[in-house]
Amino acid sequence: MTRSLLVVAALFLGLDAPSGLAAGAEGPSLAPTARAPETKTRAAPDTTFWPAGRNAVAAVGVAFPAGPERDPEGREGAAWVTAQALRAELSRRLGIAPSHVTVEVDRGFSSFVVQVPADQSERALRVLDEVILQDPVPRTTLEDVRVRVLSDLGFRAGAPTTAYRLELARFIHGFGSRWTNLPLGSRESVASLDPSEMNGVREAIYRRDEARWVVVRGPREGAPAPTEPTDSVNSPGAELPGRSPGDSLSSATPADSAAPGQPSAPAPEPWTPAWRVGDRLHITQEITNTWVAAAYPLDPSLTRTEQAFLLQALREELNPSPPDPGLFDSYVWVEASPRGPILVLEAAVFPEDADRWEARILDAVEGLAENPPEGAFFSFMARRQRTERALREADPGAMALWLLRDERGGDMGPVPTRNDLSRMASGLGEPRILVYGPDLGESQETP
Amino acid sequence: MIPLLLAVVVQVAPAAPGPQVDPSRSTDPEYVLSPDTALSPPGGVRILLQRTPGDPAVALHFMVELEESASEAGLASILAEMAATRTAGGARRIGARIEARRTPFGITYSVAGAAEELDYLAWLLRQAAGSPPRDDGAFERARARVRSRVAASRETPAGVMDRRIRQALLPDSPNPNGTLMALDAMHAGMPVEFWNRSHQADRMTLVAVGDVAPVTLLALTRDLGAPTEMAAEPLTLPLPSGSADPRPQILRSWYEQAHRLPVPGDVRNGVLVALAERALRQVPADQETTVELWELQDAAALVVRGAALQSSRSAMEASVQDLVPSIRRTLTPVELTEAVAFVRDEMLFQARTPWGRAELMGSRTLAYGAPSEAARQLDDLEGLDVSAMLSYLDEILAQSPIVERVRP
Repeated sequence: MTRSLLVVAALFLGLDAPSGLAAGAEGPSLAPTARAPETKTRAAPDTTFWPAGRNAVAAVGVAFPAGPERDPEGREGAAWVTAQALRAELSRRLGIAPSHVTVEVDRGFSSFVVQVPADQSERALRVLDEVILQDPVPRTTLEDVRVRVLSDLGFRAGAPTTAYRLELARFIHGFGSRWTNLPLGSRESVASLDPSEMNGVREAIYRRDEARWVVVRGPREGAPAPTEPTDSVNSPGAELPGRSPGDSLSSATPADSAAPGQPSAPAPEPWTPAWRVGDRLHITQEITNTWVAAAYPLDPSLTRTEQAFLLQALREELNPSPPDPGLFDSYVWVEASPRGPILVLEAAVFPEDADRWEARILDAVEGLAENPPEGAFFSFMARRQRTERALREADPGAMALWLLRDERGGDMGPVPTRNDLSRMASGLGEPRILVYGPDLGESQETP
Repeated sequence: MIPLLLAVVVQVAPAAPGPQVDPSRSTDPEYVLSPDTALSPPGGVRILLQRTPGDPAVALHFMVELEESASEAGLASILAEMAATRTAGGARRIGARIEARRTPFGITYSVAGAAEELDYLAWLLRQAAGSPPRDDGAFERARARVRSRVAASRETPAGVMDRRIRQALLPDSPNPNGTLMALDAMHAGMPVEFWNRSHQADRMTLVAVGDVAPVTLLALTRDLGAPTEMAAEPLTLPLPSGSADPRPQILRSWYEQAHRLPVPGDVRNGVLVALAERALRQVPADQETTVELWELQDAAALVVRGAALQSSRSAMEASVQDLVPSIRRTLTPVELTEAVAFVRDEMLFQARTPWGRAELMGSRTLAYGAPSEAARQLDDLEGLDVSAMLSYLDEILAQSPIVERVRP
């Protein structure tokens, strides 16, 4: 039995549909679609089921392609405050510890994942739907969270990192764009939030028609085989011909035979990058460290697996062993934007090392494109990726978060090859570079 | 070799269930917390296996039961530190999880990673649990880390009170965290001597969760541990007489009370902690109160700690003293049901990953004997009622608590 079928088999758990959902067309449901065909069309249109194997815990989650960019003008921080209040409500309504509720609020993405005993997954799905999309958030809960966030913002007031984050967002998304909103907002904007308005704000941010649901729950094997896959379920791998999620990675051992630069996969569809011309900006600030960030338009057709491997390769390039004495910390992430995904590489460094690290960041991408790691270096890199994936899949909460981030509904393709890595790095768009820190008289304003 | 090992499996565990997963029970909590196979080769490492065919990850949790003499107090922590340092690079190479840790019962070595990496993970585990190479530098670095933790705990009121209460609970057992006197008297040859004495195969248990065959685990644990003839008597070095606790510089008054729990490992202990945490939410904000469950080698205790400024000291001490009696007075079926659900959920939550499940099954087996102890505890939770809880609270309150104070 392939894993795809097993995934669909998760539907056949004999669970009762939530009373308030099975009757409606909007909500998610664990209703046994094939056993009861009449409920097939009532299932949520965008629900991913993933089998958790032998596990008494289930993770149930929902995500929306929206975040602080939908905060009303002058009410920045509304999405964050609302999400934290919903988190408290989920914990209270489900009777689970707050640590079993995970909330993420990023630009263009918000998610809620709860981990509950598997026999309560049906109830958790219903409560998620009610708390996130239906019931008013109690005013006292909103006010408690707002006060906590205000206190947090007070602690951060004047912190250079806040100013830098804002400048980086402006640099990437454009000055004045709603996508430059900081998730926490500002003291002024959060202070102006009125709990009585917040439920309206919530409806603007978390829309039912944009919701994507995920259920990670056992069993992995042995459930009755489905008679046919249903359109209502995105079986992991179902949209990726030839890529069964159960494929052994050992059978996908990276091949090093072809030379870098020779794509092993068919040429991807042409895409329009977020920008075509690179840029460089140095913002002088008298602070004790310098941030160096390079942002690259990223091919949106890359799978989650490919993105993860590219990010891992770049993170390892920017975290040398032994540690670089000039480096405080480095981060690599993909930022959503209305113009497509942006890959961001960032390093916080001593000011005197800023030029060296700017070159190092650019070299990391160029080196990956022209001469990706080979032999044992690449082999160990691929093994680390395989381990990361196995450990993630072994943890229902982590797997749910991964699936919610994956619009394809669970890409678990093989670890990319060395040539794939080269192709992905060389396919990045032109970099925009931001240097934020003191001017020691050595940096150039233009490339 | 494989036929020989298979013969051993058949010989030592003729009644062991086969490695089949029952899919209809794959979310059943008792099934999830139970090993499928238990092997006890004569003179060899005890093995518990929960086989999960098709799972992409595997976890190996290796436990060594040991005791330290007064001269050796802290040596097991040093061994664990050295093992963690020795294997960190190897684990990082493939992104595996690895941990070596001192526990109340001994040392645990844990690895987890992709199922395809089983051979490498087994090698890592043998590196961690194997005899430490004589390395003066590694010993000194590990000793410095352990010593620093012990010294830091002596500077806090909670650390001072914890140490005194532990001494009162187990007067004949040295502190597993180590003592400054013993640590200062150690030399670089002691980890190897201690390993030879303590790491005997008949004191070892391996818990595996993953798609692993029993024969693989038998091969993994073959020749692990020191030869039997190396099991010498504990070291009894002359130690200088004990120094008085340093007097922490504090502003608030601290008060700690430990209730001996009659049955270590009883599920009611966890439920009592959940009830106590709930009750402490009512304590006024000018008092800081915490509650902990201590599960020591041969004892268990509910430890309640409070801190307050002089103006609230009496009220704080009264809150701590009255915590268990007030739970006894006011317990309702609803409160008990919520506390039971909380404990059950926390157990399941810990067991949601292969490594968490291996640790939970292993620690309960080590503490209470039976391989299915974790599952039995879940069963006990289901059947717990108010009268059973009240009678247990009566047993607890029949004994005088141990009390410690640190005042400015």
